[in-house]
Order: sequence, then C-alpha cells, then structure tokens
Amino acid sequence: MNFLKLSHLLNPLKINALSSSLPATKKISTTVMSNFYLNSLKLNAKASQLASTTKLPFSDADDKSNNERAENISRAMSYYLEKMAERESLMKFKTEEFEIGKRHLAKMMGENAETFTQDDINRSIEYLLPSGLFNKKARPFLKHPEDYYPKSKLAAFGSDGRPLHHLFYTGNPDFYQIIYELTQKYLNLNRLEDAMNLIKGRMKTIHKTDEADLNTRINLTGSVWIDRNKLNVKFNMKIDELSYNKFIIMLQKLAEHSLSKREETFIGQFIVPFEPPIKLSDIPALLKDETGRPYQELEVRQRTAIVKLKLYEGNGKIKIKAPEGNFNINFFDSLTQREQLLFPFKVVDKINKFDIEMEVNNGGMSCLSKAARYAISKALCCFVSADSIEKLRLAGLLTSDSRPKERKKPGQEGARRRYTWKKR
Amino acid sequence: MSLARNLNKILSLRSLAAQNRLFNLNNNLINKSLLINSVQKRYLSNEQEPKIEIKISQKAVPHFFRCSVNDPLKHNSVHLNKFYKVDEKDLKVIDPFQECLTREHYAEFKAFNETALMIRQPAIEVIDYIKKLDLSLPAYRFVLYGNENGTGKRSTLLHLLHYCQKDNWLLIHLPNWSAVLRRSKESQPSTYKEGRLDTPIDAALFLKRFSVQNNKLLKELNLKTTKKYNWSNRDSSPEGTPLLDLIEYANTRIKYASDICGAIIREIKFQTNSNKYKVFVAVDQVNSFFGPTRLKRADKSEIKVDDITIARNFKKLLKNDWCNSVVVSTIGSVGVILPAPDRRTKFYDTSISIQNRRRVPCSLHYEGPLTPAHLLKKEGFYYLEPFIPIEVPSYSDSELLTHYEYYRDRNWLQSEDALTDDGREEIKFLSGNNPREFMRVCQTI
Repeated sequence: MNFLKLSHLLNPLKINALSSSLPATKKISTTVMSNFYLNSLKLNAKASQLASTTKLPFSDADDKSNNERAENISRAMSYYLEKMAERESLMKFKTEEFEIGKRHLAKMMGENAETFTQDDINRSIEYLLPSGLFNKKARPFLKHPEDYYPKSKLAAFGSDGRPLHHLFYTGNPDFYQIIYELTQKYLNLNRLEDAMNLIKGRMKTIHKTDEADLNTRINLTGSVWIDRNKLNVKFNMKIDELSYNKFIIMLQKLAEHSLSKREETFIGQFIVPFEPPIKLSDIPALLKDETGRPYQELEVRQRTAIVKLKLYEGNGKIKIKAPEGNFNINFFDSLTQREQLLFPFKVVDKINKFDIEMEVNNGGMSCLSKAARYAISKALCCFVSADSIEKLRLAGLLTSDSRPKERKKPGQEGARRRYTWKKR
Repeated sequence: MSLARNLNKILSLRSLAAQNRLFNLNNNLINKSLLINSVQKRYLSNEQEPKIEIKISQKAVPHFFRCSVNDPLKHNSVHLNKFYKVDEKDLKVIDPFQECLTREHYAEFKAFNETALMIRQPAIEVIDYIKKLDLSLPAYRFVLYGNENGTGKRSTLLHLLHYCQKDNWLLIHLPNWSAVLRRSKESQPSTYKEGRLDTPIDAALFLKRFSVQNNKLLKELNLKTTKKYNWSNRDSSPEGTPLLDLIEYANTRIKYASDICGAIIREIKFQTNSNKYKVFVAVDQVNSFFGPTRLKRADKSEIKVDDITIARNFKKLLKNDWCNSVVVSTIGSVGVILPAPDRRTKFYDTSISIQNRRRVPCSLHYEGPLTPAHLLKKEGFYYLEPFIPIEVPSYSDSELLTHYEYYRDRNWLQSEDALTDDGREEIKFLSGNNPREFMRVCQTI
C-alpha cells in the first residue's frame, strides 16, 4: 500500500529510475502493479477524450436508443418520485396540523399536552362534539394522518421500467409468491419422504413405529386457520373468497403431510390460537338479596323493547311488570311467545325451578318475548354448570339478535308496507 | 295427523261407554262407503281392529281425583280439589240452554261423555255460608271476583246453582247477561212508559229458562198474582192468575214478555215474606248493570241501563229490601262494556281479537285491576253494599295436578311427551296456573 501511495505521487517518468533502485526480488510485482495502474489511467483519459471529441460510427445507433429509453423510464419514474414528494410534503403538513390540533384539544380539556394520548383525544371529541350519526365512520374524529390516508405502495418497477417481482403479471404477486413457496415446500417434503422410504427399504432390520411418524407431523389441535380479513391485513393484499378457500385447502394438505413438522415455522404464520366463544371467567358472579337469596340481574334491549330481568331460584313464579299493570305469564297472549320464555329452561332441564321478575317496556309482544328469552338464558349461565352453558350456546340462545328496527320510508306506510292503492 | 289424533280421542272415549255400539257404527260406515281417507280406513276397517283398552274394570275403582259423593248437599272441605259428576237430568234443569259456561266447556263435556266439576274452595265457602245464614234478615249479596280472567267464577256459580237446585231453592239465573246491552235481538219502545225500551225476545228467553229451572217448585207452590196487571188497553190479567199461566201467556204474546217478566219478579220478591220458599239469584257479570250500553234510539240518543225494562227489573233483585234470598254475582271484564278513559275509544270491547292488541294504540282491552272497587265503580259499589267479596284464585299446584290427572284418565292428552313429568311441568309453566289457559293448552296436545 505504501508503494501504491508513493507511485500515485511520483511522476510516471521517474518510475523506471525508482524500479531500478529497488531489490531484484520485488521487481516483478511492483512493475506489474504499476503497469496496470498506469494503463487504467491512460484508458480513462482516452475514453474521456473519445466521448467529448470523436464518436465511433458503429456505436452511434445504440447510444441513441439507449438515450430514448432512459428518457421514457425517467418520465414514469419521475412521475412516481414527484408523487412521493408531494405526498411527503402533504403528510408533513398534516402531521404538523395534527400536533397543533392535539395541543389545542389538550388545552381545552385542561390536560397535559405531552401525555395526551389517542384515547384521550377520542374521549374528548366524543364529549365536545357528540354525534348521533348512524355510520361510525361519518362521525367527527382527530387522528394521525398515517392512520387514515391510504398507504403509498413502493414502486414495483426498477429504474429500467421492468417489474422487480417475477410474478408481477399475475396481478397479485405477494399471494402467488406464498403459494409458490408452499408448493415448493410440499414437493421438497415429498422428495424427502421418497428418499427416506428408500433408506428404510434398504435397512430392513430397523423398524420405525407409528408413534415416531406422528412426532414428525405438526400438531394443530387448539388452533384454527387464519381468517381471510386478518390474512389480508397481515400480508397487505387482497384475496377473494375462492382463492382463500383454495389456499386453505393447500395449507391443510401440507399440514397433513407426514413430515410437516419440518415446515412448522412456515405453517405457524397462518395459525391462530382457538378462542372459546364463551369464557367462564366472563360470567358474572351471583348477587345476593337482603335475605341472602341468590339472584341475577340483567337488562336487555332489542329493537325498541326493553326488558329488565331478575332471576331467582324458586318455584316457577313469574311476575311481569308492564306499564299497563302487573301480570303473570299470561301477559303474552299467544303460546308461541310463552314458549320463548320456556325454551332456555327446557334446554337446561330446569322447568319451574326459577322465579322470574321482569320489568317490560316499549316494543311489540314478539320482540319482548325474544328479548326476555335472551335475558333469561344469559342469567341462567350464572346458575348452571359449564356443560349446560355449552348446551345453551349450541341452541343459539346466547347470541343476541342485533338487528335494529327498520326505518319508515317516506311515501310508504311503514318500512315495507305501502299505502293502499286507490284508483281515485 | 290431527284428524287421526282426534279420532283416536273420540274412539277411546266411546270405548268407555259402549264398545259394541262402536263396532256396529263402524260396520254401518263401511257399508255406506263414507270413508274419506286412509287414516279413517285404518281406524274403522274390520281387518285391523282399533286397539282399544277397555277400562270397565277400572271404572269401579275410585281415583284420587274423583269425589265419591256426587250430591252437592253433602260437599264440604273434605272433598276439596276433586271432581264430582253432575247428572245429565240435573244439568238439563239447571242449565237448559247451555249458557252458564263457555262453549269450550260444553265441547269437553260432550267429548268426555260426562259433566264433571271441580269442587273448589270458593264454592265450598259460599255453601258453608248459605247453610248457616239466617234468612229472615235482608238479602245476602256475594260477589265473586278473580285477579285474572278465566279463574273459574262461572263454574263455581254452576256448582252453587246445583247445590241450590238440590236444596229446593227458587232459581233466578242471569247468564250471559251483558249481551243484551251490547246487541239485543229485538227492541221496541215500551207501552208502559215513554222513553223505555222493551227487549221481548231476551225477556221471553229468561222466562223460558226460569220456567224450566223452577217448573217443579212452581207447581208445588202454586204462586198467584196479588194484583191486576194491564198489559195494554185491551189485554190484562186479573188478580189470582198463577205464575206459570203468566209465563205461558208471555209465550203466546211475546210483545208483553218484558212487562210480564217485571210482574213475575215483583210477585216473587214480595211473596217471600210468607216463608214458603227461598230465592237464589245468580247473576253473571253484575258490573254490566252499572255501565253504559251499546243500544241507541232512533234519534241516536244513548240508552241507559235503567231505560231497558228487564234490566230495570233485574236490578231490583240486587237490592236488599227483601228476605229469604241470596244473591251471588260475578264481576269480570271479558264481554262487558266498560267506560274507557280515552275519549277516542268510547268502550272497551274484547270481542275484538287482535294478537297484539295490548300494544295497539287506543286498544279496546281493559287491563286495569279486576277488583270489585275497580269494576263496579262508585255507583255499583254503593248499590251492592254491604256485600261479601269472595276471591276465586287461580289453580294451586294440587288442583292443577288433579285436573291433569282427570284429563289423562279421559285420554284427552294424546302426546306422549305430555304424559311425562316434564311435560306436566311444561303445561304448568305455559298456563301460569290459570284454569282457562290450562284447558286451552291441553286442547292442542
């Protein structure tokens, strides 16, 4: 290195004199190196001279076309870059605005702006600008611009205009990349299995048990495949229902392979732990009366109906308190509505073993009976065993009917009903 | 399937009465080729004989739900919550036109081939009172009421009527009374006094019922009028005409029926001092005497209850200015015209049956409390005072059990699930211990 530095400094004319003065052993190497260096310098000089002054006849056309293409690409690329810059400036402006707004809001609420979090913002906006708009997206909000502006994609093409990904023309390269990997892994496993079988056949004496086979297979108990929406979010892509189903079938096939444990990390990406729909820990504890009698209290709303329920252990007495007066089960005129109240008790097999006290308001009769059924079955969960709760769930009694009342349309008598048509 | 089930019910019931007759009937049916479908064929063909269990041997064995004493004179608190049998002959005398109970009840009696009534606490209570009463004092008034509709006020009334008929009382029975006020069959202006309304057909019906119920007793007593009655300028009946003759006269001259009705009530009321007979007055829905009516005059002016001749006369029976008499009345909201609080809805009327009627605005369903003070209102309450209110409660658990066992004995419950303990509990839950609802639930099973 010292030599190179020196040679760089020295005049090319002096080199010969220098080389002669050096010992004979190092002569060859130094001369080779110096020659290479000198040549490269000369070539550079020549090239620069050529570019500036003279042009070779054969390289003329090629150069032209190269220049044109470069111009085209640069237009697309420049457009992209322009857009990116625009967006960046916009985001910068919006974030500044957001920060200022956040500070103002914190000041209005009389809180510290430094420790003002997104939850605080949401809470204070709900307080300051209460909105009854049905669609929650239409309600006022204050968020960081990154949260609600659509995310910009990275350029899927290089500076030469060719797509970077080899599956670009499939239209969904990320998804097909995963499928490609999956099939490759499956084929590899197949190959490996064949090889192992060959070895097994040769070594007849060694005998493997089925249990060992099981150890090589992945264990999927207590887990489920990832949801389509979650998959879309996780890999930032859009998959339709059909291709998702196909994908799950392929995954299933890979997981059922006898050597699938080797691909545990890959399969693990698409697995979500199974969560039981009803957690026993969520069920509230029993309340106690003044007399020490256990009971459970609930309020259920459905459409316009409101039911306030108290469920006691008892003899099957039913009290229904309505604005019209006090009733027993005959408050409900038709048998079908009374059977609604009976059903949860029948599922648990405890008819006439509970007392009901209900306060009933608004709503139609069938709606009230349905709300009462839901309230009873929810309150029953506190009294009965886990098996019975599962029975209730399977009977569909623990899912509330969330359908709202359909609005009345103008020019019509109700939601669907029209006025009677009269000729004149 | 429902046809098969009903057929099964009927067939099994008939088997209790006479098996031979049934087979004869079957043969006749087949000969006349009246069979409609395969289900009937299966039950009525000769090849496959219907599987009928003959319970003739069991008939003699007393069931725990059956009362061995069928005479209401001997009923006391020992026989509570049991069914007793009413003789058909007695029933024809007490209730000749089948008006005392609802149509559903009579359909059941027909299907069971017998009339069985449950002996319940309120009936026993009233009977106990009647036995101990000092009849020389002014008339005693009882008012039967329930906290719900359909708890059995009318059937207790029937039980009491049966008791009094056996005890040789003179019966004055006003069933289904408020129908007159809602829609009388025929009406004409009164000749006796201007502004009043005669309802001759309703009056004639009452006289007919009265004569059937008390035919034997009236013949024995041979009551005669104490006054000359002028029905019109031409027609009159002299002093000393027997009451039965008067009733016959009303049959021939229906025009005068409502006036004759008043005359008979007057005679009966003022001859009780002779202590020859005792009078039992049974009034259904007594609160309709103190409410509005649906009737209107030609000039569209409203008619009050006091303007109707027979209503005016019946109302006199409720007073306590006479002796040797007992008045038992029921109050209720079903079928009675009650003044409504809302201006838009003038009356409550439950003949309108909408499933969701409770929730319909301006509904015509009375939902207030069913106590005497609320239903009789101020006018009726002071008119009847002092009276003895007697509550007819809904079924207790033991009463419900006996009724259930009775139905089971009559093969009324065909579904196998209904015969289990769980099924019984379900029926209990759905009916809410209300006798009428219990009956209706069991009809469908």
